[in-house]
Amino acid sequence: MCSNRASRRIRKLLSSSIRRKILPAGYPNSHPDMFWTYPDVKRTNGTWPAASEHHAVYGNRNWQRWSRHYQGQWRAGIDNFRSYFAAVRHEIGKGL
Amino acid sequence: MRYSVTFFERDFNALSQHLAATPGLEQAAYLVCRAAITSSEARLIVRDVLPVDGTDILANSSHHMKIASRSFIRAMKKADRQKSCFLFVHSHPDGYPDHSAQDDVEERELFSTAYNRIRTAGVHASLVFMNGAPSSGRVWLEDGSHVSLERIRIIGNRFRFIFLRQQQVYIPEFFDRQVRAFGPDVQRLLQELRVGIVGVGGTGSCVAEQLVRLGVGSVLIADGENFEATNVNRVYGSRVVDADLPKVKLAERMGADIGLGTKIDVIPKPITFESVLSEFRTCDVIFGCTDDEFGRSLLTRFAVYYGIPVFDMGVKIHSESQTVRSIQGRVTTLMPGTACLNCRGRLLSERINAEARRAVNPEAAAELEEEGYIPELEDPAPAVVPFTTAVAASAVGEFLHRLTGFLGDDRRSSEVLHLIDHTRIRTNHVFPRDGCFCGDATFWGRADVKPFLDTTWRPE
Repeated sequence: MCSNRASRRIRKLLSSSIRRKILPAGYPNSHPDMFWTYPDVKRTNGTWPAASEHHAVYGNRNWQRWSRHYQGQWRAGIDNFRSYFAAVRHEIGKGL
Repeated sequence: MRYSVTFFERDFNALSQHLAATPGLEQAAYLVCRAAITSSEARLIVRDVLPVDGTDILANSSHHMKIASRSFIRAMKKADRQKSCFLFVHSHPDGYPDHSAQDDVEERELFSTAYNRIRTAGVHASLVFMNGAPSSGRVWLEDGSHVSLERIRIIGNRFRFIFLRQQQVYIPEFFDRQVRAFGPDVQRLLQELRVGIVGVGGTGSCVAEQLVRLGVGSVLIADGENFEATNVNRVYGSRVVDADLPKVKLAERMGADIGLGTKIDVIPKPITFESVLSEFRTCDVIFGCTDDEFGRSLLTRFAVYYGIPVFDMGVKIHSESQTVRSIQGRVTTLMPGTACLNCRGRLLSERINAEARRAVNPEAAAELEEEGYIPELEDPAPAVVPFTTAVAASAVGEFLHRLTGFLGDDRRSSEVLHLIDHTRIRTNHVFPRDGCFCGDATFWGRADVKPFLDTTWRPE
């Protein structure tokens, strides 16, 4: 997952206005909080995954907000966007 | 514009050994350097030493050397690929300290090629080594002219500074007692240094006064807070009537009042602003005297990215029902190769996060605090002047040791712990944790990148 293409995409994302929403000042020492998906992601039975029914509009899109928090888990100096993406993948993969 | 080169000790030693490997024969190497460029200084930070050897040496004697062009083309390619600058080093075993007339002719062509082949914004340079140390150095500019390198820094177990443009530095008589301790060279060195101080509260104001009295030539101080009358119990140079003045103004006034002619620059903003911390790129060393984790986390990164050592300090008085349970102080030397504050467990991501959010948007942070997503603000910590002073003095002592070696050549510790309530001092040396950026040499001397320190910044 650490291909050049992936890191170019991450850099592009970092330089965009979305960065300000996802990443707090002081990242990567300071950790991101929650994540957002567009379009909506639901369970196969049509219900919302846990703590993810809230929505917020950014950049003319209505994003689904996943209330996931990293208190006590973020290792400053080690963790970065890759770990954040891995955590997002893991959360979505749970299907809960 | 001042031009300088920073080496990490292990690279400098490898280079010196290579250049001295065949006594009486000229040797050469290429250095791949990243650049840190401010309005007053272009600093090249050495990241890789590429010795010229084997079949790339077509001929060499005590006073000349012929090198195959493929060897420097390869080095230039590497510099270009790594968005770096190119530095050519060769030895003069015959004892001639300067660049020779022959060097002038050959380097003009070499550096013209460097500017054609390397797209990095920055400058390229050349050094002459004699008797294991740099004796002459210059930067080649894009227009084909050259300018002398002013200083070489070697950062490691000891900090060495080599000044290539010999200047007569007059030592005022005020420093007589100090010269009797460390000798005139150390006094001259102090006069040439620019030292940063981050935070001028209890420890920082004491560090500032000591640096001025030691005879440090130039000091840069940043602090975003105003002085409060309740700080007068521990802030040097402060008076009750100074309430509401920026703390940096008090430090500036104290420095000027001492009257040693110290150049003092102040910034009345915290280093959590990119514009402020980037000014510290002009320093030779920095004292971290802030008590916030957001600022400390940035200094931790800064020390590694720029190879500018940071002496970070803190004092913690643990008191219950107005009875002291413990008093601990700490001076940690941050630089590439030593464990950073993250590795030492001295920073918590939650607190950095909370402080950063409060700095950017206090109202939104208060809501998050209410909801329990960020830790609550703590009450002001106890602070008492003899303890802040002891730790500040210890930090300045560490700095003097790195310059002079007065604590012994075999000393390896990068942290001093003061167990003040036990009248004990301990030292330690900790290596970086697996996976931490501070132990990964790709971050050592990474210098100027966008975004600055690969970090997201609060709006200015």
